[in-house]
Amino acid sequence: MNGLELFAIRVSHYYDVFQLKKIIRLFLCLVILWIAGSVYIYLTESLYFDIFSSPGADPELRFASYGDCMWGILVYLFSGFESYIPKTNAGRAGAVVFMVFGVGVIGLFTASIASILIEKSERKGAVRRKPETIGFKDHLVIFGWSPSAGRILQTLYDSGLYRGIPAVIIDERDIIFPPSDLKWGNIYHVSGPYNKRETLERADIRYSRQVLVLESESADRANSRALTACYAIKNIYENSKITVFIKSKEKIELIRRYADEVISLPDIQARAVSQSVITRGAMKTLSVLLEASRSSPGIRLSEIGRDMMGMHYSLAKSYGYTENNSIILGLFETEKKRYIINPADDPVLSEKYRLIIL
Amino acid sequence: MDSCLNSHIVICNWNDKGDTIIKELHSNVHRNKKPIVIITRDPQSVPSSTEEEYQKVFIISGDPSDEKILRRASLDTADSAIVLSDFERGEYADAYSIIIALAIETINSDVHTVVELQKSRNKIHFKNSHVDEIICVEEITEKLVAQSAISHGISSIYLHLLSATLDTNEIYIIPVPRHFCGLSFRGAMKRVLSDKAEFILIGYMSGGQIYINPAKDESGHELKEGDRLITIAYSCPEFEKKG
Repeated sequence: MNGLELFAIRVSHYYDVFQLKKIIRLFLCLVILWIAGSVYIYLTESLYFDIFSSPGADPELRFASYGDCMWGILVYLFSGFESYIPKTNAGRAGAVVFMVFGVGVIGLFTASIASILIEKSERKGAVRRKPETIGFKDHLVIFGWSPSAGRILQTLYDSGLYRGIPAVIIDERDIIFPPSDLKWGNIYHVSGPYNKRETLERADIRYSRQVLVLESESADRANSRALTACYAIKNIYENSKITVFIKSKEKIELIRRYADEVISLPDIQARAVSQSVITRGAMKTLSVLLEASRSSPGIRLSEIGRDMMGMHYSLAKSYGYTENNSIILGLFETEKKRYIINPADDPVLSEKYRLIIL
Repeated sequence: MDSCLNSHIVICNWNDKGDTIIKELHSNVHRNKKPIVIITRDPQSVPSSTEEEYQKVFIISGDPSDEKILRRASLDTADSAIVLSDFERGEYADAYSIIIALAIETINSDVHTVVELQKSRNKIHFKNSHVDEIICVEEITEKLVAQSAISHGISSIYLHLLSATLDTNEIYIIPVPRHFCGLSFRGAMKRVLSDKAEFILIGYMSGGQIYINPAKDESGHELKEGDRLITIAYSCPEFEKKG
């Protein structure tokens, strides 16, 4: 996303969030009322005296020029009669009509400005709403805001691989507040139910790079929500990449049908505890492995280079380390979607594999 | 219960993760299966399984924060202690775990204590205790979710490394063999690769710090006695005695 697009998003955001459309309409009404009033008063007051009186007959006449009329009507609209009082009956009748309309329009206008100021102070620190007029591409979508979501965004930001990419949070709440120390700048919010097509479309789900469905901290029915969200997303866009993070194993098999990756907290918790007893320091190592950064992106998949095609796995390990300082941990069989760590049978590298490297 | 228990594992409290922990600790991948003593206020919740993994598993009914109960579990001769969360305590589950951990460390400060924590914000309360490892899976899992956003499907590799079975690899941290002392990590790696070892060397531990695949310019550190090698293998690697 370039700077111009980001500027357009920002403008569009203010247009949507601060109801600029309504304010512009009210302002136009006010201008029309002002011009119409000035013309009317000019015709009824100034021309009347020009026709029926000799020049200088009424030294107190305040509507002698069109400029005076415009100033007079502006005073009527904002503060009512003061020194500018029409002398003719038609002028007085018109002035009353303009004042009644003026009070209404001015009231609405000032109230809108006040509401913007109040809303702005209330929204301080809140995530901006995603503008409906601008479409996002290759962005990150997160279902459900929680402290976990904030920490995940921070980890992704630190990895350097998601910098400059917008994150769209889908949450049923009207306003969400990210932690103040979160460095991720482009966070937008789409408010609405998870399972509604309209909500998902507003988040441009079909053009997203990755969708993360996170179980909220307090909801008991959270896995039902995760399941509904996955089902709705796949219905709209079958190729979307969904990772689900759940804190209980309820409905896990159903969720697996629709999600590409399911990370279940109980599975990891039990294994982590036993691993830390079996091998002291194993969990620390795992934690270091998971600390993704620009210089050390952790475990990742890589295509097999032409120079390595046809090599035995054991030879490729030496070659990969000597040439690229990469430790080859195993192979990913693309057709079967199977990860083979440290294969014992020393397979020959071919196009059906990808390398798992560190 | 056998009163001469030695180098055993004490599990304080029981929850839904207990079963997996027993199965992982008594998996066939381990040659030396350590006896396990479970201390729980609700012994009925522990499955009375006849499975192989549940052999050498003993249950003591009582409060795991009670010193007498901990001594009955021969904590003073235990190798490791695991403190699981007591979910019945709700918001105070972590607070109860802290009390148990302090009781354990008072009786035997040498025991390797692992505590399961619910909320990462409570980590600070363990600062002054001598707990060896605090498992706050919330943190690890969040990092895992972030990793999966970077590289799709990667979480299954980490889960694979966490499973202790005969057909999966695990992380093993082993002392640096004598004939590796004086070598740089790069030198050690080349030696392992040329020997076509059955394990994968991924890094080393020195002075409590972990170094995973150090870059060429950072790998000048010479491995010495007391350092440890970090490996991935199907079972704990053993080096042939050389030099």
